[in-house]
Amino acid sequence: MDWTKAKTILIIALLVSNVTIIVTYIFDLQSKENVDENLIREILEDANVIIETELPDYPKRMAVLYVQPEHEDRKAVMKVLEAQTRADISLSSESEIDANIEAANRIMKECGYLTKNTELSLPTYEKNGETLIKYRNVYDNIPIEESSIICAVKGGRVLSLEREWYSPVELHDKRGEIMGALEAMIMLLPDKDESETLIIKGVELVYWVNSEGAGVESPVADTALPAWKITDSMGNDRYVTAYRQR
Amino acid sequence: MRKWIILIIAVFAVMICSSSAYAATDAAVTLVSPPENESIVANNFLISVKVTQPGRVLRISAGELQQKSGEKFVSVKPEELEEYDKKKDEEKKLTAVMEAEIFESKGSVSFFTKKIDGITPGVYLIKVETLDAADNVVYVKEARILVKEKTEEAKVFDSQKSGTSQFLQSLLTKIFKN
Amino acid sequence: MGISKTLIEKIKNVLIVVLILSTILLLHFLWNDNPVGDFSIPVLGGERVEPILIKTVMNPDKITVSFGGENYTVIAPSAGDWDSSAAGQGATRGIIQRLQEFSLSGMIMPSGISKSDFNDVIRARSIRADFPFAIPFSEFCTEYNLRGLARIDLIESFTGVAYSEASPNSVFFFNMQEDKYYRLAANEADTDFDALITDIERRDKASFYPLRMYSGVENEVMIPLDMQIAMAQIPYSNNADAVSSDEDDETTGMAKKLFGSSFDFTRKIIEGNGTMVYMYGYGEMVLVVNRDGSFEYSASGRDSNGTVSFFEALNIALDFISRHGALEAHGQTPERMYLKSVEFNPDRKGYRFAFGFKIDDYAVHYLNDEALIVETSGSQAIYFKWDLIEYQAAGAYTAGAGDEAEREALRPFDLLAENFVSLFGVLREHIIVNESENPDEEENFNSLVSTEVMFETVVQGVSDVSAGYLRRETGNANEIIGLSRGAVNIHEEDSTGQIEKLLPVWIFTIMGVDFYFDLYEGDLVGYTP
Repeated sequence: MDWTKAKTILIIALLVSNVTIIVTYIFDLQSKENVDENLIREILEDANVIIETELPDYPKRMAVLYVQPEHEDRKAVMKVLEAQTRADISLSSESEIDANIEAANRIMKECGYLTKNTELSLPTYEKNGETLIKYRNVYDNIPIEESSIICAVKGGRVLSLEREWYSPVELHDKRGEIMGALEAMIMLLPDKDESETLIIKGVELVYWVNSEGAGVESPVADTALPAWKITDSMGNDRYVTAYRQR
Repeated sequence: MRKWIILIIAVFAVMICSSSAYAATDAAVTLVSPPENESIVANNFLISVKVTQPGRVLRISAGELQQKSGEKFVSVKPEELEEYDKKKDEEKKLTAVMEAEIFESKGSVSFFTKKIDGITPGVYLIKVETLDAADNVVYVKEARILVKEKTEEAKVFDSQKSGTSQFLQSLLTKIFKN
Repeated sequence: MGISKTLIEKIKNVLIVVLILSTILLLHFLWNDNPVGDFSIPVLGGERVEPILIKTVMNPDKITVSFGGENYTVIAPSAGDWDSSAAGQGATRGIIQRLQEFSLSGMIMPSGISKSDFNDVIRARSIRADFPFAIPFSEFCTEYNLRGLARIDLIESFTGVAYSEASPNSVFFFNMQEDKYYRLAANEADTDFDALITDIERRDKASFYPLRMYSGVENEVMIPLDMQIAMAQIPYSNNADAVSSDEDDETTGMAKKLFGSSFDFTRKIIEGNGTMVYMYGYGEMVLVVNRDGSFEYSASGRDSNGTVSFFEALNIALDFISRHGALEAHGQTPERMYLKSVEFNPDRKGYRFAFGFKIDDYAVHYLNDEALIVETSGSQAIYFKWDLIEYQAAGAYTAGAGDEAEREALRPFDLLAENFVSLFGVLREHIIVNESENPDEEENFNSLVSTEVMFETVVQGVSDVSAGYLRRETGNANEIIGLSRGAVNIHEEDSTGQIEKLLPVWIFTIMGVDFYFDLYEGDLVGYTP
């Protein structure tokens, strides 16, 4: 037997088997996902859950995000608010809403809250004649909930600013498998009344800090878990942890 | 008439004298242990004197009653006590088993406790004397403690009862219970 | 020629090796469904864990021997007095072993007996072992192979076992909590309990007497007249400093052990006061790490299938403790740990085991806490709390703790007699008042109580007297689940580290309240209602 020939054959054989394994693995994964998805859609339909939105893509694996809870610096904010002059409050812009937004943006900048991770969260809301403008922060293009700054604006003047903020610190070093939005919706079923129809209008992947915390009063550090934010037709938000439980 | 009066006074005097010789016992002093006139079997005992008045000064002493036997003095067996009491003073002796101790009570309830070791079978006397400021004896309390030889333990449960009769008994109860 | 042949061959060899390895790797992924992104070299084996045995931690609180004639002694059992299989080879057979012999004595007749009969029996030459908690009788017989006794259903649970020369063919079981006494009589018993009595007689021991003999008040609890004890104040630390930063290895290590693979998806919260909370899911597992170094772990158990026996649950608890290395982390060993109390929780179909630690024969008491608690539900441990301390004294782990010579401790009965008024005051506040329903009656009761009655009440209520160490600093600020005791620390010292010494104390348990007196100085330093 010629060793060199044998080795060559062996190498080829190993290469082939490696490739086969890889291909099988990929197919395996894919088929699992497809089967699961159809089954889930059926279950949801039977439970009177109607999905009226597109389901977004999502990363296969995500790590938890360590965050730091922050509130507004009352004194500094009051200072900025009181320093608003008549000149600022000019309705130069096209619509009142835009003017309000402009005012809010300006105040945010002055307070130092308008960072690159901060984005405006539309739509705005009207309440008691005031426009409530909400900002939220994002990490790696994923919003952090329920992290927000709410400015109440009226007639171009910012009346108040409330900040319940989670500043991202760093990601954990291990990542976990993320399940799709459909699977997450299954988690809503136990709390749902069977006869009720639940219409889902919005689905978003977020980093979520559960405000019904562990009974902790005022944490100085916390953790946000990847979660699906599911908004229904009534405007209610529900959060479901996106990790696939084993 | 005078004779009668003298007689009455004399009787009273004797009564008073004897009562001071045999001083009334101090109500505030109780000998909690050892239990008086009960026999115990041990090589030590605990003296516990309870005083319910503060500021009492007590002198506690304990000794073994001994009787002359030939040239020596030996222990008195509890059975021999009656005889012992009838003996003459030369034939009797009290050998101390502890040095007399002075104890002053504090508070509304206080205790004097002492353990006496090295006890052999015999009869012991514990004396508690209440003293006044001038160290005179005001009251006396004495107790005799009988220490017996160690014998075989008395059986608490009739051993004959155990075995068949108990078995029958439990069987019957089981039957009737059902 | 170009590339030489040997080089090609070498390359081929390398290729083969590489491909073989990659095949193995890929198979590993495929079969274990492992995600490619998180590959990490698996830890070889686990840590070898020494299991903690029941016989190491479950021992009677004390063994009382009566030599007849109102002569008694009480000893803390040495290893092997209760179960000699816990001691080395050639150890004298212990009580368990003699019970095993007894159970083979043929027909055994159980009967209930009165308290006074029992007291008579015990007053004779006898030996008795008392536990601070109740043990289910039939499970006990199964666990220790007492076949002859297993079918006796008269006895539900017991807190102690006794043998007396006044009834030599019998063995007595009793439950002090329920005031129930039982006699197991055999026709002919060949067991040699007397040898154990003689063995103890030969040891150097102190004389004890029942309280009745000191005070004249009915109480059979044994206390020594005086005792030479070698105890010293022992400095300790609770590793609170170790729990300062959240990158602490010990904390993370412990959390990882408890949460397992779920650790990476756990929410970590740090409170303003430094407490760390790890939470998995919606509270399925929670670990609270307190500033003072104590940990509290709870898991919501899966629905338990069935009740687990006392001994099974204890094994589950001990297994849990050993697997998580709480003892090692604080320099403690299972030999110094003892089972302190047991509560059965019917709702959770499980038990709550509290453990304490000893230095030599003396238990370390916490004013406001327990050292280690495990709760089980079915076959799971659902709650685990530990607040362990590490002793700094060199001699603390060996005989002659602290290198102190023996000196005379204050007489416990004297302490009782000198302090009964304040003891009564505390008891009245916490117990007597709570139990009385008529507030007017309370008023009268309070003002009419004479010192005689006070004294009697206090003395009658004494259920235990022992020497031990006291940890005074009141542990964690958080509410301990099911344990808020409202203990009172009478000596308020400043917290600049001066208080962190274990204090030798006499512990008087009266009506369920533990009172602590400085062993050598006699001050009342605290109590736990």
